[in-house]
Amino acid sequence: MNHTKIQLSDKEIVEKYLAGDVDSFELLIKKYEEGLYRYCYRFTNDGEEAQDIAQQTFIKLFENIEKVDLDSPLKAWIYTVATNLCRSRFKKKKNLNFSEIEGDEKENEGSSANYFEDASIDIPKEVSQHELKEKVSFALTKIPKKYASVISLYYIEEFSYEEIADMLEIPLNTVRTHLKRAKDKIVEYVQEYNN
Amino acid sequence: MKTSISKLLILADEDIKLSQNFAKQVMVEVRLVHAKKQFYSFIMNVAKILVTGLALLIFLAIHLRNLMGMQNSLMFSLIADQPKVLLSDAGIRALLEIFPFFSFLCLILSGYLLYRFIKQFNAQQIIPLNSPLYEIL
Repeated sequence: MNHTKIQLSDKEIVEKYLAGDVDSFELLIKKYEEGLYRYCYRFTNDGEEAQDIAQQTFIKLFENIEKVDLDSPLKAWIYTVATNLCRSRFKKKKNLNFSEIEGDEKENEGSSANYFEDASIDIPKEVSQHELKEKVSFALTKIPKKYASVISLYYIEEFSYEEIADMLEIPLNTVRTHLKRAKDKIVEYVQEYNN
Repeated sequence: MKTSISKLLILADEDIKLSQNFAKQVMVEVRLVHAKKQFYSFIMNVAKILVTGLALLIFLAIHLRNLMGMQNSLMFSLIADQPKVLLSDAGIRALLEIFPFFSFLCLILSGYLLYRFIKQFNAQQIIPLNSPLYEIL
């Protein structure tokens, strides 16, 4: 992967750009392109649209690079912009409201704290890697976007609960609940698909 | 068999591949935005230099006119006739009163601003010939 070769920190890359090296911006793109594209893909399930959103995100970053606070993580900024772009596309398409289940999640606030002590799924031994990949991919296309985004941000991009809550502008316990529900949905779909 | 969710998700993501020249494509757009930014800042700098240069000329003209007016003043002729008056307190006070201080201040200020804008303009990167700016123009 390209981003493994980039050893400069985000701050160093941005400082290089601000010193007049426009090409150094490409390092930032290469560092985040794959993860960002996959994240957008989880929202859109459409390669071209995901690529378009990822491109728009980088252009927005470029336009605002002088204003970005270099002391706070740039990755969170990038994913927040991408999330907002995905949301606005969805709102145009389906009028999807990300906080639509906030009400019933509040009821679960107390019980959601320990949901992720065991973040693993029981898979039958006879299921092959290929089959498993297909099942999970199928499940991820089926689960609601709000769950897909939280699960991607937590397990793949390794953001903390607090960072996800800030990025998606949802309460901390809602993040936990979304994660729990996402996991349940994946198990459910994998089993359904199996049947 | 217990499998962690992150492993499963990474496995599922394996097939989601981004086109290899994505970064290059984005950089084309980025350079276009950069060229636009440079172009606008070039226009702004030129405008600032022109406006400040014009202000400098106007203040210079006003200051010179004020200085010329001093020649005809009574105090000026008094100082010319009796240079020793300048050394007295009254002489210095009188000189300060008739000296066109405000126009002088404006002249210095506009001169300083013009110097800074020209310096800023020179420090700006020269747009390369292969820049998309030329395509925009």
